Amino acid sequence: MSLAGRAAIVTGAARGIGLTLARRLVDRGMRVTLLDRDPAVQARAESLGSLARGRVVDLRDIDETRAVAEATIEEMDGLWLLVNNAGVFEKTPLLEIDPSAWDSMMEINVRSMVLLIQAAAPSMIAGDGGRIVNQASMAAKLGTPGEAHYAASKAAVVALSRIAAHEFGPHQITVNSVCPGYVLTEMGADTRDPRQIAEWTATSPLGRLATPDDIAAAVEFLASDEAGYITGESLNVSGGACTW
Amino acid sequence: MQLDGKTALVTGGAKRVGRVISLTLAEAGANVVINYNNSAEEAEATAAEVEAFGVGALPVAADVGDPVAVEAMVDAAITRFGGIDVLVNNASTFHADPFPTTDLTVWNQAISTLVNGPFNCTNLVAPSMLERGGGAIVSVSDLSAFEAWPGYIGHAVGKSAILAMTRQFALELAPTVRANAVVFGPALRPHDYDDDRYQRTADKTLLDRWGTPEEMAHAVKYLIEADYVTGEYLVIDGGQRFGHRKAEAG
Repeated sequence: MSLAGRAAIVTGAARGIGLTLARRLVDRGMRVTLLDRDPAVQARAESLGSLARGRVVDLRDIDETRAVAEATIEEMDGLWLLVNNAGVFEKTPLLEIDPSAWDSMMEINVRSMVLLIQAAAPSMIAGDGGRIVNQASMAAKLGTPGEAHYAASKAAVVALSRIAAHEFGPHQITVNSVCPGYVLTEMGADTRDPRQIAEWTATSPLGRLATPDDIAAAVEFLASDEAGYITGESLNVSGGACTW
Repeated sequence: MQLDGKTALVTGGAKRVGRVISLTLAEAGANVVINYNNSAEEAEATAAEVEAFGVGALPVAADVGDPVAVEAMVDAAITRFGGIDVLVNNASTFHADPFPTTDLTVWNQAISTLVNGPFNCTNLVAPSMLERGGGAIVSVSDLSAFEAWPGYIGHAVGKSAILAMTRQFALELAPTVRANAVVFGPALRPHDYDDDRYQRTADKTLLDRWGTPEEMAHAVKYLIEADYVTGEYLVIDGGQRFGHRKAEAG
């Protein structure tokens, strides 16, 4: 069955993987609300046509996040798919991670997902089920030095997804996470150090970095009716860099 | 990889979930080589269903545990279709195997089909993929790769080996060929399941239901198409492997 006509929310959708995914879902005929703290999300959504709309939200702000999520779901008259894609990355040695930096990472990368799931699941329960896909990372399973707060936040996403799968399973809501390897976004291609790109590329037996569309394709698959028996999983899209 | 115009070899592709995998790949536009061991009649019927999608079908008998037979099958497939782009290692046995035992028949059969089978097929198909400059392999495991099943030692060891082979295939055939595994949960009711046992199995999953062969087949199709996924296993079990404490959820 087709995704056409169904409603989706994608967070962190002003650029990169989130924007690529939103475009892909619109191409499949879905009605998509793009959330981002960057006001540019409005124009980016407009560029995707009449099925998309953008909303500005600061996912650190609990009240604002709840209000925007609830208004969005009401406006879309229910929800089939929630993609918690928004996240931040920062590299700091463990001995130098300030508690406020730790908290900030967890607020965006984990707590915001909890708030959106709490807002979205009731309407999926009231409807015919749904799909929740949370963006984790290969860092949840491997990780590199300087990523303690980031890797911990992404491991939390994997665990959160598993428990959500438990709690919402009887309502035919599947909850999965995606663990991308190194992804080269358009922005990253212009700004990354070539030596770093070469190091990242070497981690994949396929000899290339992921494109945003590689990740978007995985999310689209997990969002489909046909993937309705996959739940609680974390799917690596890592070019073979991580195999568990 | 897009399946349209490609050629796929599905071992054990004549019946049960293997048949649905054959049909799913055919629907996506691939010619299908339908391997079978004993199920000639089912293979002919599945071939007719495959051809109804307007693609080629070639039923070929071969015990996947026998490298000579596999080589003949691969040669026949290449002669007919010019090469092989996709291999689905699906053929499986499923026999109880008390342990300890003095009879090695079941153990040897399981190791032959589940360990030597995917090894032989991949070993003999990979050169065609490397020559064509691309390929995708998907091998079928199940939850016995993660948990002990009473009375199924050969099966569990074989299905575990499939995950190890998948990682090796992925690394050794990269970057030209990708290799992944699917780990199936309950998909088709075994003949000896009464209603009570059928329901108990459903109750173990997080979704309170059995899966369908179509859901299993679509996961295979996704992994064939997913160009940056390799060395990975994808579990399609309704969350059953996480449901071991479900009864306590209240």
